[in-house]
Amino acid sequence: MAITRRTFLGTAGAILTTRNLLQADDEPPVRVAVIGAGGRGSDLIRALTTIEGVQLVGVCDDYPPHLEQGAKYAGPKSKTFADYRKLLDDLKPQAVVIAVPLRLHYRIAADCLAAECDVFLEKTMCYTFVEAKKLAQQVATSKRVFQIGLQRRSNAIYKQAQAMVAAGMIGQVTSIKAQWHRNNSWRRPVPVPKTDEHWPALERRLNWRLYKAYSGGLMAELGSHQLDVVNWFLGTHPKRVFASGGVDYYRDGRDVCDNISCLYEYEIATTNQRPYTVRVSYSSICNNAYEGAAELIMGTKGTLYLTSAKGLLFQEKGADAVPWEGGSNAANANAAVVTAGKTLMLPNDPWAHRGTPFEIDIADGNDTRDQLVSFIDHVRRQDVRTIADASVGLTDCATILIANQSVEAGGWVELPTLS
Amino acid sequence: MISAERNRFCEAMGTGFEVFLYGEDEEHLEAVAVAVTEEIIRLDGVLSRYDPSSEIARINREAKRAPVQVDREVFGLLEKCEQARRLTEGHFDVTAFIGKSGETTAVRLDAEACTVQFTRPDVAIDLGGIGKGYALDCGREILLRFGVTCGLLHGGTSSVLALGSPADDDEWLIDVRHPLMPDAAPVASVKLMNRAFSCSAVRHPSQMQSDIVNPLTGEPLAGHAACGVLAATATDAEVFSTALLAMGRARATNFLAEKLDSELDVGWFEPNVGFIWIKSR
Repeated sequence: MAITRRTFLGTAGAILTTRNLLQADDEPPVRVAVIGAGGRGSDLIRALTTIEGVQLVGVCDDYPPHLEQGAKYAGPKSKTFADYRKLLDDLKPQAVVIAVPLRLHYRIAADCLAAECDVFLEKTMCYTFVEAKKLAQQVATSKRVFQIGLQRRSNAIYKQAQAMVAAGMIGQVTSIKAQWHRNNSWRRPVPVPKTDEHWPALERRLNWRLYKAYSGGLMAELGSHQLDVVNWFLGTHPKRVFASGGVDYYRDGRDVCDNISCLYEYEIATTNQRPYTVRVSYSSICNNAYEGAAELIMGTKGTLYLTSAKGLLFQEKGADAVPWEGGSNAANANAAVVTAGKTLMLPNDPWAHRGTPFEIDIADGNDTRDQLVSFIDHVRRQDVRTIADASVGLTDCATILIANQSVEAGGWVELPTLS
Repeated sequence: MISAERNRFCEAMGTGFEVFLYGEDEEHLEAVAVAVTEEIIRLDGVLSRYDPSSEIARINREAKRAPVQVDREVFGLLEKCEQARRLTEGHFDVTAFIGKSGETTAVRLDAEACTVQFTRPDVAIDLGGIGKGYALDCGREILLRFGVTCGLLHGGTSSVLALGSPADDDEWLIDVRHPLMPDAAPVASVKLMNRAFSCSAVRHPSQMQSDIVNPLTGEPLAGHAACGVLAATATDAEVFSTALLAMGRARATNFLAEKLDSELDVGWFEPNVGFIWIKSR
């Protein structure tokens, strides 16, 4: 199949627009509360306030500066709470958006479901697999609308790329490489100096991501997004993982890895032969940003390079495209390699074999906002089939937790039974 | 007592931002510097009209058809832009880049509903004349929240904000480059402490014509002038350096003397005049 710009656009899913789809004029607004108003919670509050038909009735945080920040973004009509149980009792919101440290996910989400709220829960679903499984069961029995904040599922580039993979445009996917590489300490500043008596407690509270007691580290905070893409594109979950990581560079008291490298095995069923294995290598580091955050989906006919803002398709070049016998005009610029009596002209550009990529037409939209638009739409219609439901969340959660287990225990760790 | 220093760089708003922080705890300064650059990158993602996922891009797509509900931060900034438009007699206008914007604004703001709507279909917003300054002011808030009292932030070297004083001097010394001859000696030096400074030039040596449009005529600015403004906030410094440049020296001088009650210091450069202060405290 020849790939044209038209093909790309033709397979793209429709983008939701709030105005047309969400709300008829006479419908009452959806009453939403936000629990957790730190950095991510504030992003979600700002996004919610731009969605028509949402009434942000309350914001909760037990850290006063964050509550103050959240209240500023939420506006004066939104009530503030330090205790989420009081928020649930007083406001009885229809839907709750939860952005709290991972350790608290299960308890707060379970309480919100028990209070008959629809729930949007930030990734990763839970701190432990047992909690995630219990929460998924509670979602199923309560029949509430439930969505995990895996926003690449709302991103036009990823939706397009997934459709391209499903349509066979890159052939058989045989290998995936993904990474989230940054160059900073991943440490949030603390508002008092180290000499202050409150510093230790505040440091733990604000830097909860750096401590295993609250956090799943780089895998839960970053890897969960990207391994969800892998699970989504491959249409299955990993079989097992081998991971290695440590606190090697930022020896500042943190106990979650500052670098981790994982090798996942996915077993792909086939109709006419034995299953084949797709190996997925994933890494996250905090001291070199060269590769940034991206996924490379490698198939027999092409490669997709994906980030939240850019999607590129590189077609594999066939053997007939190899520039034998110096046919190129740029022969002088090329290096000559004598091989088996023939002169093979190799371009100096080490990346020339990739060719010029096709770019996925970037559609308008913002995935953080669009995932909430989709969630609110599902709440309004009481449709439990959200874009990242409890099953997606549970699979993602198990996928990242086994990598952390492998680091701790050494050796391969199998994915636990999901159902 | 300054015993530690951290610098960080980030790309945003089509230029490079740098953060220089001074204090006693390097680990803390690093965390604050990262928080500042992350805030600048976040704001770029909200304010850039070139980024299709930004709020401004969404407004530019949708506000010609119906009111667009925006968050309180974006609404507050658009209100600030409208105040600046009125205050500068129309010489600062975020819709000017597409042509003459006229006496009244084409951007209708509804504070109750927190919406923005364009009154005409041919309107779009570009926050290029305020975004960097706003980002620097947000950066300063982070420094103050986390107890950093000495530092310097700049966006693309055209807007700079200084807190406290450097180790070896009372004030930060900022050199003003010749707008057309970047390698020539500085045309002026500005002392800065707990204030911001922003420069606008009609055009740079590499530009055939100015990218600043006079909102009242719809024409790109002509000539070779440059304007530098010292203000309490980087937002004000940037807004006024753009608006005063659009006014031209005579009108700007008159405007500063008769119409504006403020604490600005304003420098003006023209090749045949050199750098002169047309208003100082």
